Amino acid sequence: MTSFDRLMQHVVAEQDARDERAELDRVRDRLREGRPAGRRRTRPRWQAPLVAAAVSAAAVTAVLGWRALAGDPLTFRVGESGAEGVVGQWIAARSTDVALRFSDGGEMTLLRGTRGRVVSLEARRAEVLVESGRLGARIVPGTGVRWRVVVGPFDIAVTGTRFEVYWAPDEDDFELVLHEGGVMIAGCAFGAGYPVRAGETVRASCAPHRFEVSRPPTDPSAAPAEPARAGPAPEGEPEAAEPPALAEPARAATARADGASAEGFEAECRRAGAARLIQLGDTARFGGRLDQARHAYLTLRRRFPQRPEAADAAFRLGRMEFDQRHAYAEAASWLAAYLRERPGGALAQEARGRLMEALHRAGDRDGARRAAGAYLASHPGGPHAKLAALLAQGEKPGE
Amino acid sequence: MSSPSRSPSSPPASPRPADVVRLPLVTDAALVAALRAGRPEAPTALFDRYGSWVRRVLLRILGPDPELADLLHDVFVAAYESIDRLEDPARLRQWLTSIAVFSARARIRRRQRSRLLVFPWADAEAEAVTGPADAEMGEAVRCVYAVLDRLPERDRTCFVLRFLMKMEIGEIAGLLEVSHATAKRRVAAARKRFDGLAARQAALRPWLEEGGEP
Repeated sequence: MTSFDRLMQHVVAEQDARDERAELDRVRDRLREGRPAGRRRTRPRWQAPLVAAAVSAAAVTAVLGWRALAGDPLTFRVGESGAEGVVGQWIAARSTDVALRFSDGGEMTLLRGTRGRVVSLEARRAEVLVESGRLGARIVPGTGVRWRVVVGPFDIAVTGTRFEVYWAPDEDDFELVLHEGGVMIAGCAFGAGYPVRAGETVRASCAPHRFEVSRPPTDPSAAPAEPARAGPAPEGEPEAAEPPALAEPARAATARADGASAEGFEAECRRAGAARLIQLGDTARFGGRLDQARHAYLTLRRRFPQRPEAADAAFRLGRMEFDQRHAYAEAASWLAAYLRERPGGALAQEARGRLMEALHRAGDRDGARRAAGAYLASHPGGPHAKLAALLAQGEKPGE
Repeated sequence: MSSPSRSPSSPPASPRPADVVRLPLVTDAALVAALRAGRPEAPTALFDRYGSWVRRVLLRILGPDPELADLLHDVFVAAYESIDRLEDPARLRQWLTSIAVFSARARIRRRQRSRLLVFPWADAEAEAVTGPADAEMGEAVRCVYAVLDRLPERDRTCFVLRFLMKMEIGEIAGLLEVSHATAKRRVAAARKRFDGLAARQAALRPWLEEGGEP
């Protein structure tokens, strides 16, 4: 045996050292779920002409034929560059938020510090996994795509909706804020499935199995909301006194994530550095406390006007005004501020795209046309290019 | 394939009805007949018998790959859908292998296309899904993957079938649907290219010193 042969043996041994059982079990389950045993042959063969036509004598054609029957699989693009995403590839939002834009119009954002991946994308089914951190999602309804977002041990089935989800595995802390639509959560405390309604915030833990549902306060200064619904403690967990934080999930999550109480938020902003202020603002924003988020970002801009984070704060203010307050004129101001301060910044492409759209939505047609021209000049192949082309020609895109 | 979940000594798993069905499908021909007849237990039996093998084929060709499970799933869905096209039921294993090989080749081409793009945030993650952990040998194995990743898809497939899977030239020719001579030529070319690239890797040079046969 040559050295080369031994090297090949090592490669094989290394491959075989990987435990295959879990993977095989998972695929086996998927096959069973997606294809109930025996169903295919219960129909007469003439009822499956597409299948018969798609499979050829060659096995490769069979594979391709099967894929063709399913339709074109979804695709997605990642981040500001709009680079084509790779299914299965881990994506770590290390220093900034990372947006995933899907070909059906849906969008997900991995907030800074979040790690996840797109597990599978098919024509009618998509699965995204969040290992840890916070993910914001806007799923387009009516596309026929069944979305599944797996967050640690929790499994969220989605049709069309907008939500944010947070998972801290070390703290066994799950939170879902559902802005629109409805989702079904399964796993751990939720068992086979639990429906969540728009406006509800769900917090859960896996050990012990427990969850609680509440409507977050719209006014951050308001008293904590009454828990609307509470989940069972199926393993005999006593319905013991919940820590006060559980009555107000968003605030509690923020306090825990930040190491600061809600009451001390402003004091924390006074002490915090620029990066910390971004973190405080982000956490508040995704906890639904927009006033606190705004306070943190504005504090950053006032105290650290020369730091790059000041421009980032402007971008975040713009995005918050755009997405959450729908105050498009104000959003445009902030986005323009970002572009003035960091015209070549990492967020410039998205800022130009959003600025153009914000101006359009605010009714500023001339401004939108100019912004569209600037966008096309800077990012002719960018994700907003089609919209930019329409706006640059003075056309009104469909909403 | 023997499944640990069905071992009497294993801890109780969540009940899965088909797990407890004992199939009298001893031969591949019987299994194919059951699939064609639509017997409900047959798809699971097919996977239980060949899931591990097909996974191994995919793994050999692709190396560690985050889409491995999806590809494995796809191979079996394709097999279910086209089982009627299998002319010789006794060749079920070879037929599944050919589907796996073609699926893996398509995956390699996709990977090579996507590698042209830059995912700066994903660089560190690639390490987590590729390569073993131990140091010296691990480095050599990692370099093998690195070299394989630089081979054109056709060369990589030929190389893996011959040198990792130890397939005979005739078998490779059958899988790739080429003549025996063509398969032999491709294997030789793949080996030559691999050696050329491997010689640039310090961790691999010692393994190439004695040469070897293609």
